[in-house]
Amino acid sequence: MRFVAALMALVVATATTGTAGSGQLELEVPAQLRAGEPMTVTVAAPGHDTATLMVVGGLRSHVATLELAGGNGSLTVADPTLLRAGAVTVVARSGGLEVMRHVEVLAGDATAPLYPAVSPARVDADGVTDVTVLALPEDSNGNPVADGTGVRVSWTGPAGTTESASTATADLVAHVVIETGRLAGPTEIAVVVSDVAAPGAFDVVPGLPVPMALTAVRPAGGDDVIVESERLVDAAGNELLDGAAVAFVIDDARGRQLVQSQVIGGRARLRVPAPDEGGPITVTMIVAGVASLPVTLLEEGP
Amino acid sequence: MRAKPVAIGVAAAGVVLALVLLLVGTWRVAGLILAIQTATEPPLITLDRASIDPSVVAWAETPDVPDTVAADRVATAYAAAWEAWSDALASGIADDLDRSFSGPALQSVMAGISGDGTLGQDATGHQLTLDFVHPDGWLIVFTDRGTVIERTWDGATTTLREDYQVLMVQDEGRWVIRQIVRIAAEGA
Repeated sequence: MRFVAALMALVVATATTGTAGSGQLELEVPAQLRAGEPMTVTVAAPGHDTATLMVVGGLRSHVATLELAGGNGSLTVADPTLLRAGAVTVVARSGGLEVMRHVEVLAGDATAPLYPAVSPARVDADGVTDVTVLALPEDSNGNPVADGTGVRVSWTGPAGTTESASTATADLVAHVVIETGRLAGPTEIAVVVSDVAAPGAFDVVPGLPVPMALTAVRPAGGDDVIVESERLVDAAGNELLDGAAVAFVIDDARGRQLVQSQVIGGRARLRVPAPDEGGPITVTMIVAGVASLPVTLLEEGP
Repeated sequence: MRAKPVAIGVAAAGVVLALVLLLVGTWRVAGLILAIQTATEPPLITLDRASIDPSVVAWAETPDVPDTVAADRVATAYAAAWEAWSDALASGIADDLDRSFSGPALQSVMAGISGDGTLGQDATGHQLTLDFVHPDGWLIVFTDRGTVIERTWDGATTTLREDYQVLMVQDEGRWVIRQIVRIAAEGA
């Protein structure tokens, strides 16, 4: 957090004492605390028996009454207000006067789980889409760790090569941008802060297939024809994943028929029964909007 | 001579039709009320630009954010969070805070609601400056500078000018505060 300099300037500016009618009101607090540590507050209000205190933190405040003996007293504040890192203001009132001081509460070290977020989790193997790895390192009290905390991100891509990048927390987060390649496959990620690690992952999936050819084979002794695609790959040579949707368009003398199928083992296949009527049969395959070259099955003569 | 019975018949049919429509309408309204009363999900509230009071919250300059972020909605949600927080401090009821806060911020703010009305607060003049936005638009970090907060305690009011750094995330389409760090304060 980048407020230290500004905060210290404020401490100097506001670490003042007020003057009551019968004397002064003075307030002493530590300049810094670690989150969760108790804070000792000392008040001097000559001629008064009590002082009230308000401790203002980031998301909560705490009000307490301090009994004074001979105009002096101290109180150890162990309120959850001090669990939150950041600027804490202590305000004291006594005898109609009010003074304030500021305390810097420091976040602790990062603890699991670091909240890594990888997005997008699935990208096309186009070689231009970036993946952002973001982490929210927090201490055991849920505070963002101090700005400038070192963060290391390493990743092992489909080729088995491990790369890494170092960064530092800034503005409550840490993030690294990974440039993806054209090789499809999973990428495993590790985000490490101090001795804490958290995993992440993303997948590079094949992009649009290149136009493909079909072949037609009539098995020996059979009447049906098997239409099979060649190996379905994208422009980078990545084989399309099993389960990718495929549509076969069959045109024959009866009209047009659409058959849904899917990629299995990098290919798609269709069994075309022998037609009842003569004439050519044309089959075209469409994958992700990309059409194959058509294959025409000619009815054999008698 | 048959005109009168016909007229009576038409009138009777009209009365019957009116009764039917009344019953159907009543049934539909009752069904709608029942649906509202039995709904388990909170109502989906669309925040629009008109609901932003610039004296309460405003971007110091137009932030450069992805189209999916809608900076005005972030600002409005942030203002709503402060309002919900102040209301909870005043009422001691923290039920609605999870609509504006999440994670560590929610835990902290809920734990600070005592219900004894010891401390009330009123915040205005949030001036927001963008620090970071995720390229996918689901997370944003900004600094809120110069917010004037009046806290009433022990029968008097203390006014401070405070700065916060805030991390908000989208949760089911709603912007909520996950982190809010009080980074500076001074007497106002």
